[in-house]
Amino acid sequence: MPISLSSKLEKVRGMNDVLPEEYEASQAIQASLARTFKAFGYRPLDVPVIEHTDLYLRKAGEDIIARLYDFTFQGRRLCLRPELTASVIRAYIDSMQGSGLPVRLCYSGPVFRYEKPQRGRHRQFTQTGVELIGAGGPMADAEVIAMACQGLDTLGLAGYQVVIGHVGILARFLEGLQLDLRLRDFLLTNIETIRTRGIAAILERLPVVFPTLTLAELSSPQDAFGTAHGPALEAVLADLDEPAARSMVLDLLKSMDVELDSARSPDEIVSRLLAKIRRRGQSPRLDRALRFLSELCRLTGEPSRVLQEAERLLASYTISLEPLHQLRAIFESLAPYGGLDPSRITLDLGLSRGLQYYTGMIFEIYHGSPGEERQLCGGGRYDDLVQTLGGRSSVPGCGFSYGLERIQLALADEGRLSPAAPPVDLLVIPVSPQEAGPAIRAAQAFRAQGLAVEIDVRGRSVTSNLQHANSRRIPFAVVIGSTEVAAGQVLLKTMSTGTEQRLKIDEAIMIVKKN
Amino acid sequence: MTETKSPPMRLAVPSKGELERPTLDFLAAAGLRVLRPNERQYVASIPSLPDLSVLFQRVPDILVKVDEGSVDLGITGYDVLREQGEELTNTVLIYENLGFGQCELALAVPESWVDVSNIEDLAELTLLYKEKGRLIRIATKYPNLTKKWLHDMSIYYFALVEAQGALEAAPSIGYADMIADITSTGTTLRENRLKKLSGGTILKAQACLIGNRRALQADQPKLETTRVMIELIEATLRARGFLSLTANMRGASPEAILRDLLKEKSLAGIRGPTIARVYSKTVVDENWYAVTIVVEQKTLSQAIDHLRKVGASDITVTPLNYYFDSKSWNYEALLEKIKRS
Repeated sequence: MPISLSSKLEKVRGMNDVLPEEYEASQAIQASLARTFKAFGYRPLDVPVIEHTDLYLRKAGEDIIARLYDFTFQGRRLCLRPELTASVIRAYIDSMQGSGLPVRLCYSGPVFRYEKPQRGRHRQFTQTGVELIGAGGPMADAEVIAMACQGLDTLGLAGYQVVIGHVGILARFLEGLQLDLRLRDFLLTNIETIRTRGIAAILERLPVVFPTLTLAELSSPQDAFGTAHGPALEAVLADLDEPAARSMVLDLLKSMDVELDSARSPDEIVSRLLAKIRRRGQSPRLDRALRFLSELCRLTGEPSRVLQEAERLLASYTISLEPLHQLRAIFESLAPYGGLDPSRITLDLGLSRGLQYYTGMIFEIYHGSPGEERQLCGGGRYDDLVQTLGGRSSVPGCGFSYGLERIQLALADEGRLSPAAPPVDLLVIPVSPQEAGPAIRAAQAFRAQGLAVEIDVRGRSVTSNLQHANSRRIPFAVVIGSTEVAAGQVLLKTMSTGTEQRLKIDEAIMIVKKN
Repeated sequence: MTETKSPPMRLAVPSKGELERPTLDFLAAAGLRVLRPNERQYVASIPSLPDLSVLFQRVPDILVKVDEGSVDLGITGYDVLREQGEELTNTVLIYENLGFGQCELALAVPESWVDVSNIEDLAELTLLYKEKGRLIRIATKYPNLTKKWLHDMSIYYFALVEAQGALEAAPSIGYADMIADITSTGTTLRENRLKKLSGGTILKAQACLIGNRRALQADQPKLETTRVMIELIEATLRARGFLSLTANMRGASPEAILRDLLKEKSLAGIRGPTIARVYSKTVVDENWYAVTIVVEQKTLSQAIDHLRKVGASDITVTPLNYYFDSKSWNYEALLEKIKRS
């Protein structure tokens, strides 16, 4: 039996080769998008593929962090960029803080996320997008939304849907609730789960992540000390004032011969222990949060109707209506752009997006039939990001990015990928090695006129060269033999008709260019 | 078909370290005794599988060698496979629990962190650190498993310090705040003033058998040798915990004896007793029968009591070496795994 332990090298799992045809289509899409960005005054920049992991740990949000290509190299913790906004803002902070505001930037490049590969989802993909730095307010929000749509319109994409939301509503609600930091983060990152699978899914997940949290009574079965006498001790401490409780715990720990000499100071440890004891009873607040979340997630549909319903909900929870006013102003600013069909806009107040750096309006663009939608674009407002990443002052910002490969798939689904023009205009064929020199000179003359010219470099017969031209759909062939050289002419063959003409090279150029 | 000589089949087993002795004992118990000419040699053989040669390798190398195909089969720790194996798609897990080399990967923090007793506390601590612009540093030899597990627990803000050697000392030396390490006993942790976090067990693992997918797909003789190994291992592991009992009973007929035995169905063997005529060497007329049943080890004394109650004597008990089922389930599972998609 033959053994087939081939030594062929495989490509890395989740990575993809982009072959010429697909690449040309992708270049054409990028060029079209770049023209749209330029029309709005955005200037392109490029940023590194490798960044310090810390850039994303500061603000990227959990779902990004969990998918980082994160590694230590020469003692530094680095990663492949999972998105471009953080890099662009870092570059702005590094080198553009002096320039007048706003700064309009656009970019396109590969990003890397370690996730399960499937159709339309590779571990390396291309993000193309913009950042509008230094402008708050609805006009800036409307500009990026409108531009995102115009980019797709210009490509001829028809069946897309825009979903707009606002993270400010939930943020304000949770802030007012004074939930434990971690519980708040958990809820924020799991809104998508609530939206798609309901509260029940969250209730299933909670005990895994918060093993000591019981929904009925948060006061945990396991006490803060994790010891048998813990509950009694807690009761005593809860009645003492802060300094008394603190010194009591310190004394107690000393008497128990617990050495408080780790990287954390005794003060820090004791403070947290006391905070932990006093923070019991989050359960009613959590219940309230979950109830609000599920109501919020139901607020989706035609914008003006949703805005009305939202006003009622927010009023009943006494949450500020400011985010709703902002959204209304954004819709007003969107109208004059024209061309934006209102029926493709949905307001969805449960929309959260994974990235935690958003602070205001957020939006996503989808394509495909219901149930099989593919997200093409996502973006929003991030007014804290510049400062979080070390900017001198607080500078507002907003932007979006497209998933380029997904746009390409969407265009292909709609049959809108324009068939690539024949990449080569002309094949030059020297009849024998003696004509190589004249053939090269002829090829150069055609190229100088902006034509794409192949020349036979394999010394094939004229017949097989003509077959090659046919199979590659090259529209013209120029044959140069000793007769042509002697006459100072070329033989031009039009492949579609088979017509052959002996011409001066300038005449041949005219004919090929006219094609 | 012409006779092409396949390269010899190779099994890599742990050399040195904690897994070497248990691996050899385990193979011997399965009837696959490894014959090593001398301790210094790294190539050995298994007389009962003449087509197989055995290579002694360092545990961390075994997975790599199996995946690249320079060995066909390997015995290694399931923890190693889970840590290193996610992207090694040429490696297939053949037998997950070989019943030895048990270990547990767990999180431990300094005892002095009296405010941290469970995983939830740790999660909150990572956020408090983050607010101060710091990251909790966790020393580990298992960065992939640790990271993935913490992410599954919604814990994202930490730095892993990859280290080899005695990790328990890391927090007191100061190059990490806590550790994620293999803990076979709690003693080392206590000596280093560390405590396990409740709910902080990342993985429980034991030794496992792995193989190279392509070798098993492409080479029928190698697959056949693998089948024999799986059969022996499966039957050996299955036999553990079972005993075979044989007793002599006097009765009117096999059916009458059966009726008595079946009064306690759970003690009447796996499918039922075997009852065979015994020809008494003294009294020709007496009806003696030999009864054989297989029972679980833990029910032995109940089984003896029951047998005595229904009149049995001369009860002998032997351990089982193998217990074969109608087919090898692990082999069937392997065929499924290496099926070309």
